[in-house]
Amino acid sequence: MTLAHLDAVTQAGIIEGWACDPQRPRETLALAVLLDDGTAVAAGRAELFREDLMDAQLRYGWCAFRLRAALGPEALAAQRLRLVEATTGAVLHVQPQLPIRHVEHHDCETVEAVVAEDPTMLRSIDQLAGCGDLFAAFIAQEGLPAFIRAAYGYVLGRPADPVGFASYEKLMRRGALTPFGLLAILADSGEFRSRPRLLPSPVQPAFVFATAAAPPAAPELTLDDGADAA
Amino acid sequence: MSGGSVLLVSVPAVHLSGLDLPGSLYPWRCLRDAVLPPDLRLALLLVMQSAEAQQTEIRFVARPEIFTHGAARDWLDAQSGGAQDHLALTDGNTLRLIPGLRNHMFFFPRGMTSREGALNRLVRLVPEAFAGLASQVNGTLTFRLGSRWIRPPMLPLGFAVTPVGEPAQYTPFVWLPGNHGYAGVLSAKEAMEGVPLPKPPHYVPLTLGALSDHPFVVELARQVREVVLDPAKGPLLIGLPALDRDDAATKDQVEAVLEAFSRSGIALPRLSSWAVRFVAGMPDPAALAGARLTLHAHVPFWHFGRDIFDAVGEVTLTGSGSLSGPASLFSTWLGRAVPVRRIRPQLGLLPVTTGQVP
Amino acid sequence: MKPALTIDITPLLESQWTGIPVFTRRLVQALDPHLRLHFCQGPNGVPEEAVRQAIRIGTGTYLRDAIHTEVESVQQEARRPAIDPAIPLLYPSVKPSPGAVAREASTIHDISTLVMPDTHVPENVAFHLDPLRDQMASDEVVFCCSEATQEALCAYVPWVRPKTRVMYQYVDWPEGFEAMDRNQPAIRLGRYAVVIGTVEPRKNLRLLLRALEEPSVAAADLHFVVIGARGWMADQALAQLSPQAQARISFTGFISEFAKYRLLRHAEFLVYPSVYEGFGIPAVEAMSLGKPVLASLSSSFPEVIGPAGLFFDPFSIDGFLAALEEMANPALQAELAAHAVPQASRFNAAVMAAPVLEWLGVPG
Repeated sequence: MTLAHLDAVTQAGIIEGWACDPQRPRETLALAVLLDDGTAVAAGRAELFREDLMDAQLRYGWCAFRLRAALGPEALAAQRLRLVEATTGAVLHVQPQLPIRHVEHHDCETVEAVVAEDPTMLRSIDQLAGCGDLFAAFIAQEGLPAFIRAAYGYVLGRPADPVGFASYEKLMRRGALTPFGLLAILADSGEFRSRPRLLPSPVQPAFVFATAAAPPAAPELTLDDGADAA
Repeated sequence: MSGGSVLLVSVPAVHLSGLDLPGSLYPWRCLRDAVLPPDLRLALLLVMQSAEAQQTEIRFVARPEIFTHGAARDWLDAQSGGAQDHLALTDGNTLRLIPGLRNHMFFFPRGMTSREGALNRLVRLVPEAFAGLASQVNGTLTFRLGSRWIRPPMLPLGFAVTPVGEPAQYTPFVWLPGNHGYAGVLSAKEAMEGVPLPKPPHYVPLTLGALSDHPFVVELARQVREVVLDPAKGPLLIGLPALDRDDAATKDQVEAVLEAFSRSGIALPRLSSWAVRFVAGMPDPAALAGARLTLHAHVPFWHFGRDIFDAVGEVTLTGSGSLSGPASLFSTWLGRAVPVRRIRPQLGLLPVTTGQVP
Repeated sequence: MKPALTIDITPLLESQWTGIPVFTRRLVQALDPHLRLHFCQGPNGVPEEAVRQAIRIGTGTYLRDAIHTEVESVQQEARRPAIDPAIPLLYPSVKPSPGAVAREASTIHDISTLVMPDTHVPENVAFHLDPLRDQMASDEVVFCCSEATQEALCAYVPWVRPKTRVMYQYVDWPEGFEAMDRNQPAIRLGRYAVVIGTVEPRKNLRLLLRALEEPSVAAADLHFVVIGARGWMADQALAQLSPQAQARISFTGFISEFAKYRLLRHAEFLVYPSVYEGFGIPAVEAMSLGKPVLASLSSSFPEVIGPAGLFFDPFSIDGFLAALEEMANPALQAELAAHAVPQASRFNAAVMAAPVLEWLGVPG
């Protein structure tokens, strides 16, 4: 059963919420927000990180969405909105009156901000702290050595050196180190700090620990009017 | 290259990296005042002088290789003033061609072994590019491609008057067996300009290519010994070779020559002598009046102007390799037959060539 | 049954895929619908699933690992999959040693190591040039990444011309990028142009740095966003500039495909000052997002960018400034932009696959 919620709309017209299917934790849901008459006012995927979702153990914390709406916040707040799954049209949540959230809004006014807002890459290794089940599934399927090799490749972009491999394998087999703990250690290493790499988020195909085949791409809904803020 | 027209000229792009060029086509002044290796500068002077004599306009092209085809190539054609010829000055690392034009090559670091090696590698890689050359300036590049011998036509260019550079520096011969570096330092410390010679010298300009010719070095070392022991047989003037590094100083050049002598197997006396002297740079032509000039086949003879060849009493081309090509080139270039003396290995350490590993 | 082809996946062993690894990935994807693909690294076969996994995740880190773990023992070495000598073999780049199979083809991306070795490290020159002659001699077909590369190659090796075919690559942004971009915080960088250029001298960033001090650039409110790392060479060059000039340029460092997509999509145009390219995929990326390109009049640029571009002499600061000024004209920019997407769509998977299928005698 899919869990979802339309939380609020910001003053800048961004509809916020989250959605996931605990039965299909590796799938990113494609969503649309519809007016009562079926007009789509926003579309996108539930693929962003939120710490509260991680704490709630909802899809490792990676199922938030922020969708730019085609209507202003007041107009949205005045209508009943439906959150639907784009592929099936299944209604996930109905929000009779979407609250307006007053937050300080930041556009990307610098190149650094554009890069920092990149949702395809991690901002911090801590954003993987909720992925314990995912790592456990990977280890169950591929084995612990494969996980350690993958961890080195993911964080440091190189094969594991024999000494490091042996010592981490020993620690992990004893239960003294968790899979996420290994990733955190590697990301805290001098090697990574001196040559930081971009680490793909768990919803990206490049996230090697998601071993299951990627879900078929869902068709995106087309917005009805000039919603493209670009 | 025909007179009265436009000639496109390119130089190794590595020398353009620090220049603010006005465009892909640029005038001589951009290079004239740039930092350039001495052999390239001489080659450029030679080309400029020759072009002026033929009333040919020179336009330098920065990167001929970018005008491959289509619009880029059309643009070059429109800018090049109807040029039909392109002269590529090459250091052996690459040969830049402009398809559709007559391409000429000037390999200027003659005698620089690493550059000659690079050129040979390039010939093996793209022989057809060399086979299509309209001419080679002051060169004897010859190679076999399949069943054909290829030798791009030679284009002789020479200075009427040897370009005046910095005054030549003379240093004495110093021999400290096993310590050639320090001998080089001591010799260079004595450097002087315009040291008078008691009589016309025997002048032997060297390059690294000449120094790698073992029989030639053996013979030269033997002459050095004779003159050091009997100064009346001198003076022997040894032209120091250009080294393949930017920071080389006179002491390093002297050391390179002494190292070569040490490998000759000729025992030299532990002496210093002005009867054998080294010269860094081009000697004053007046000092060479009546001199005996021995040119190794790996020496860029075109560095010397007609004034020097007219002034010296005797010119001999030498070396231990095949001299027919260089002799033909040099004689054509000089406009008269040049005596050739091929050296055969006699004394000293024989070079070892390994065949198959057993 | 589809005809079979073996593809050498050596370029895919890189960790971070740019340039030739991406070309290789696209080649596999372009040929996949038409052929039964096998994979190899040199003379050794590579398990198909490992390659497909690498393509799915977009890195060769684990593929390398998978291949290397195959040969940890003599027994494993003996079990390594061999390639079928009866199946044609295509190298997407250099062919290190010829004769692995009866019918071979390889790919020349550019001949910069031959004609501008000064812009490469000697190891790279040797890597490309040492096997070149044998590579082409043993090929049935030599694929060239553009007409420019084809012409340049044939100027040096005329006998190879009958074997050459042009193989254009294409751009394939992930499907979700458009929606993702729409939902991201808006980009408000003012007027800006994206610049493709790293510290490599061949990329000619120096021309732009010189231009930054020019009054006409200073007077314009255009900012330049360089996609790529700054590096010490750029640092040195930037240190020569006034603070005002320095403020007009930003470097992104290494960024994700999505960040590049966003920056390109919201830019006015792309500046591509590179002195020489074999193809110039960033130009097609920009055009695919409707952006015109201000590019060097050099090598493959006129061929690839066509009517969506404005060209300048890459060694002329005046030429560059004049082109920048011209590009600032909104009417001209719109006119060029109108050609951008159609021009980019000339390069697609079918076009990339076509010369290979023709070689194999397969109807496209």
